[in-house]
Amino acid sequence: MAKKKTLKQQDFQKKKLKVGKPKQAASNATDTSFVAKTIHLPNQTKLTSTNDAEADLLRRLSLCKHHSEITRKETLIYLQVAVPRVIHGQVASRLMSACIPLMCDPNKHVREELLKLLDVVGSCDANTMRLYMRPLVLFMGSAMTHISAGVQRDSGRFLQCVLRHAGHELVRAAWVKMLRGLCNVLGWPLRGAASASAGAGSNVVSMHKNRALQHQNLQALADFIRLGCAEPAAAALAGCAAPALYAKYLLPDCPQPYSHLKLFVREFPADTAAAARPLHELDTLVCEDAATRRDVFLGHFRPVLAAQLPSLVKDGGDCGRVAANLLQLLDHVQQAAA
Amino acid sequence: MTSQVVPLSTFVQHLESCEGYEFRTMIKMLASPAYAKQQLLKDELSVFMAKVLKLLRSKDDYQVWKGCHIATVFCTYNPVVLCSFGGELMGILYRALEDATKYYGDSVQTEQRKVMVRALVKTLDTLMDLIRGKPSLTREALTPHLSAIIPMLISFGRCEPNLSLPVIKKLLSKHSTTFRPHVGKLKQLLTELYGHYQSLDPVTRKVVCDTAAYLHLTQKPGNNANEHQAHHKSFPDEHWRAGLFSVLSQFGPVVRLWGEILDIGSDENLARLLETLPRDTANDTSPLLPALTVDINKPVTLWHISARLEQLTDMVESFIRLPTLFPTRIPLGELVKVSEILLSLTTNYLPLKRGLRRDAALTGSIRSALPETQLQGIRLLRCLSDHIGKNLITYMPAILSSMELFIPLKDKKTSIDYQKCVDLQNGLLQLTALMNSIAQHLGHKVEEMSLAIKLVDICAYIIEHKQNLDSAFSSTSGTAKAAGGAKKKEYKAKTGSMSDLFSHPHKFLHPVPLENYTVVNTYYNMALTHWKLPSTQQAKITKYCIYYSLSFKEKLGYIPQTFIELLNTIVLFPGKDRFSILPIAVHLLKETGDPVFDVLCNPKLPLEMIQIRRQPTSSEDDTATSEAEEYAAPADQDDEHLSDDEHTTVDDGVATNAVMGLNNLVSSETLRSEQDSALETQHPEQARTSNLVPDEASEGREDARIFKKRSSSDEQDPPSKRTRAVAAQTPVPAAVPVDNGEPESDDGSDFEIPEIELSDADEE
Repeated sequence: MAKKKTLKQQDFQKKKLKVGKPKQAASNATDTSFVAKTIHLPNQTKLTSTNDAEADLLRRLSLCKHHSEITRKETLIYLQVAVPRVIHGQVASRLMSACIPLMCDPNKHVREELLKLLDVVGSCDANTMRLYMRPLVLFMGSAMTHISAGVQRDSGRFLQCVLRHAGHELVRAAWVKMLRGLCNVLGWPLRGAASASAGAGSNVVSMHKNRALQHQNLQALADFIRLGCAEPAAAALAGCAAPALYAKYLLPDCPQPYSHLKLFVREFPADTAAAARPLHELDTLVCEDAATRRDVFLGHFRPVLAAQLPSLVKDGGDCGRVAANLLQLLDHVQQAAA
Repeated sequence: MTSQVVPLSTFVQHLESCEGYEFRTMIKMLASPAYAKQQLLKDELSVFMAKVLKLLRSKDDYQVWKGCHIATVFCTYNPVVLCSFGGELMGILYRALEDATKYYGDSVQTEQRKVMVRALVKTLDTLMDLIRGKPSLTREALTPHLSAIIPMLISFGRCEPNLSLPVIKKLLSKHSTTFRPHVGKLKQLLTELYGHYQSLDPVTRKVVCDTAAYLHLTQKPGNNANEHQAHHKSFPDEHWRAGLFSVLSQFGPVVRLWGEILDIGSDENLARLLETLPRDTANDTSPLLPALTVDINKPVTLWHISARLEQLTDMVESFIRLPTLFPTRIPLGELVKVSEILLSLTTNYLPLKRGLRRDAALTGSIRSALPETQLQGIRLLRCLSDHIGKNLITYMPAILSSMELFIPLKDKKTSIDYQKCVDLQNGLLQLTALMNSIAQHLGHKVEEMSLAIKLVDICAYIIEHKQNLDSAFSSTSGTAKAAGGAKKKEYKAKTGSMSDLFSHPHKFLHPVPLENYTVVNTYYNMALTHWKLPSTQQAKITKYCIYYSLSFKEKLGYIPQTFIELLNTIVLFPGKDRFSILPIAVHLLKETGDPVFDVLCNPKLPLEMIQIRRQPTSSEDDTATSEAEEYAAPADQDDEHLSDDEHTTVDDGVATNAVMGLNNLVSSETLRSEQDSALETQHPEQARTSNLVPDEASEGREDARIFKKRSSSDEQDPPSKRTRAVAAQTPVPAAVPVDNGEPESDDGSDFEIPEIELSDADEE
């Protein structure tokens, strides 16, 4: 206390003016002594096309964070054209890390353009998408739990896009997370949710407002489950050049083959804060094999789906059709597990 | 001989005075076979032995100790001495020991005297071992003394059971008839020892139980059979079996004590098992156990139940473990039943009795005593699995399901209670060790994987515990808070600073002994090789192995052997993972190298693995109908008339065909063996063959002879199609034949000949 007081006193101390010495500058005085010919504002440079495509691209990437949604959209459209040229270069990593966060962009058109861009990236080089699985999952999860309803609704389309190009990686890396997120988007409360009724209510309202998009999310869920619960033997290994016998011992042909081991991830004890989240006991599972994924799905998610889908089927329309397909799929999965 | 070794007379002079290094050297020299001669017996040897006997008779402890060692060494290596002086030594040793032990407890005990007595007992034991089995020596030297030695050892057993009981145990098994009169005394001694069983050290406990088991060797089988059953052929192990059953029958009453506390009636199966436990048999020579005092008002006395069960398990183990002269019938069903009952006593599934007072002390002691009881079941099973092995297979389902009962569960849930696992660490490691022991009999056939998977999780938790910085931090702060909460001021005044707990929590970790890692690693090894684990567990094991291999490598400078084995297993059995961790494992073992990884990285596959049978397509092939696998076949020999363009086209054909067969199995470097030079010589010859049948042998006759010779000389590396293919892929420089003259290409001199021919072909 005593020390504080002295500090305070110092502030109010009056400096004595002395003869022959200049007046002391005020503490809030602005120094205006500099002289400059130009002022450089990096985010307002005039963009001119040059021969160096990569440098050109790099300059435009910063516009992904531009405040104007039109600029963001224009940038993404430009990138769609540029991607095939640079996808194997070093710029690709900058591009991905700049664009992926736009999944949670408030503007609908920006998200649409991003979807197109991701599709282009996936079709040009699926491995780039595999490499960026972690940020993709991170932002998809963020979109699925986003406060804005539009962002939430569009998350299913992003999921479908990633499924198309790097589906096996996605189901391995984020099986539980995505299922949980989709259930959240569709407004279905999960067992063990802390405030199930409250959380579901708001979602149901937002979902009913825009039913047209619900079937997209349902379709995404169906695709996701279909891919995750099927044995990868036929699909994945067909693309692999080496026979299955020794394929495991050859150099991996996909990026980050050991990411599921989490060798460089520091894990905190699970039972401190996570206990409140729904299905927190699934957090530590590694869903690398189809059997585990099936078990998790049948044990924790199937009952939820089985309870919600019949009412959607009754409503009919696009949603009803997809829901009926999904119900069939559930039976298939059950049979495969048995 | 006299010129080469120090004569015994020299030793005689120094015998009493020598000590230290001198004595050690002398003893070493006495082991020489040079002294085992009958001529020496008359003069030198008898004088020397008289001196040794004098040493043993001496009052000085040190002299007796020296005498003991000389007697042991001399008798062991010198049959002449053993035969001539064995009896006399036995007598003197017995007398010395009797003197020393008579007032053992009363007289002042110095460390020196204890060492001397130990030396005397050991020497007597060695001497008896040496004499036993030699007919006349036994008759003259051993048998007369035994009747005196046995009671002396028994009475000495009261003071030093760990010294005398091993000797008694041996005498019981080797001289059971001579021992019979002293059985009563021994039984009394054992009863006394059973009285303070818990205060004995583990080794002595084991020997006490062994001796008690061997007591059943002393009576003849069928001794107390009824008269009208006497004509039945009795088994030799009748008595032994009776002893085992008498111990087993004592489990019943003790276990039923738990029935007063746990509601056993709620599990019908367990209640029925408990009813069928063996009942007490009247005739028995086993020493008696003291009465058990258990008072529910003094909850700590509940621990006596576990202590008694531990003792009983020790006793049963001795019956199972010890070797006998006759084959024994072991009541497997009963033993498994006992262990099953012991393991079922858990609060996981059995509720406490309804009327029981619920205070913290009582429930706490019940919860702490029950796992100890279960642990005895695990120990029993472990012993059975180690000694009986595959005979347990029929009981496996029951054993495995009861083993799962040991795993602590959360109250009214099916998930594992990891907090309790920490307290039961030791027991769970024993469970894992039991699983390791059982699994080698079990093989791959396990329907129920839940125990295996749970054990993987538990092992991972146990081994991580107190190592993980985060958990240690939260736990220490938690305890500090709990301790500091109550009477903060007084507490602060009385105790030292607690700041270390918060500032240096990592200094308070318990080190995990290496044995724990060994048990866990063995289990993981076994689990990975036998079963296909779910990816969660597989990833857990992999991460654990990589993490600890690396940390051991950094801390100790080497990776312990069990971790290397585990790394090997993980690489070879990747389970459901997409890729094995071969690159990581190889990197970890970069310095030391590992044969398995070496092979995986540089595959040296058996050559001629791919064999292409020749298909007879045209009539011209009839001339050369040799099989493709027989490399060198006699064929037409005008190789010299080859044209260069022919040569190249055929080369391509050979290459593509063979490469297709190879399917990128091998890299070209690995296959560029020493034979390359020889194989390159084959190109011109192959030019004659058609593209479709590239491996048709049509070499010159001389070549054929040479290659036959070579393939017979070293069979490991016969020249093959594949090697040839690789050779064909790599362009052959013109200078190669000159290089081939190097001696490293072959040990034989035959190889120069084809090279000369090749150069001829090239010139054309």
